[in-house]
Amino acid sequence: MTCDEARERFEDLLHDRLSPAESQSLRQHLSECPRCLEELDAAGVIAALIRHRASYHRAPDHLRQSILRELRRQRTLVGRLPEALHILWTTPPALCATTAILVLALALPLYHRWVRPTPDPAVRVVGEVARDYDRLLLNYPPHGTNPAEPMQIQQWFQQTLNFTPAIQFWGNQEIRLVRGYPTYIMERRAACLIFKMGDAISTLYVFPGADISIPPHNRRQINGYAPYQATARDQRVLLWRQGELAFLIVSPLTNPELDQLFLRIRNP
Amino acid sequence: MTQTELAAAIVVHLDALHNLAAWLARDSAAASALVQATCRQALRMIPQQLSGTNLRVGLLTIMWGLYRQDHMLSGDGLSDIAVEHVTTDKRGLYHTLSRADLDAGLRQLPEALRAALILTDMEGYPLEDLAAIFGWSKPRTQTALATARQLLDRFLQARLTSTGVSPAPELKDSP
Repeated sequence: MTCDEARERFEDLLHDRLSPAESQSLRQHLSECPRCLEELDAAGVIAALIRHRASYHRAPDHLRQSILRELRRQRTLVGRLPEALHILWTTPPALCATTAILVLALALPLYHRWVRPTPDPAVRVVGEVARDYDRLLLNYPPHGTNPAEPMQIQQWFQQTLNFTPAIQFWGNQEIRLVRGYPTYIMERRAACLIFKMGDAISTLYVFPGADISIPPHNRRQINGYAPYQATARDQRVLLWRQGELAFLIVSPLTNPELDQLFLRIRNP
Repeated sequence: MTQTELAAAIVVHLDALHNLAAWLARDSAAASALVQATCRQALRMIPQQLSGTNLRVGLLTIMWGLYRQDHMLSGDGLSDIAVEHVTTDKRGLYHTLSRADLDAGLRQLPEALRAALILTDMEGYPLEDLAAIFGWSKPRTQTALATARQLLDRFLQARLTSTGVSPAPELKDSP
């Protein structure tokens, strides 16, 4: 045994953790190496001093009580949550049930997101403009600084919209223009005009809609035009495209009156 | 490992935890705070993180980690210490020193070496446990313990010298 090998075993010898054979081998080396013996003696003296003479700081009663209170508190429902999770994770039937619930919890939202057909953009935009129309009615008559003059409205649109609405109809004696304001439809900026015909409030929305395809069904034939017609929130909605722009009218008007409004806007 | 088993282990090892905390901390309030912080952290841990490990090692590892973090200790105090073993005939007189002298000798050691000595010589923990607690290899643990004892040895020799105690003259056989 070398001196380094002997030193490696000092700790175990000091704490009686050597096998008889190892102990015998180490003692053989110590009998032949006074330096290792001296080092071991010194370590033994210090170890014994610490073990028998140094201060030992037992936990004071107040700390013990405090820790016990903390442990009891942890054993309440909230404190035992990790334990419950541990049981759920390590008990086979509970693990199966937990896994099934987790899989369902993950799979259902994914199913709804990826597998369920996404709503048609036309249906979606009809829903959005109908909601905007409802909001408008709740706040009718409009107040504040929304301009009522076509020139003012056009200036406002120029300042706030990132496209030119290309609106030709700005009201007449029969169909009065009430207000105009910029809004958002399908997360994009849109121009909105409010018209009043009798007591009925109708709105026109115009926004960039090159990506919105007009469904082939539910087309209403109006003097050679065929806008898509839908009903949402008890209002009639007409949707059509002119170039890159999508146009929508939301109105409670009867079909003939709505046709008249459409023609005014579509073909002034 | 359940929360209940962990709580039981904390109660069993509370004295060892507090003893180490007291040897590390500056006063008894700081020691109690360190023990409480250790227990809280252990209870917050997911039981699996502690299962399969020696619980007392797990608890003491948490305590050492918290202490190092609070005191921003980056090293273990070993890198800049080189102690040569000194042969002396004064060790037989160490028993004449007071407990306060011995405690003072332990207090002047770097924290990691002090903690290692406390755990091995006072609590009787094996090298493997110390290595796990301090994150050392086994040879480094042996070096740390040897260095700590030599530093304490040197301190106690100096204390004996300052108190004027000298060993009794060796009896010689008559020719």
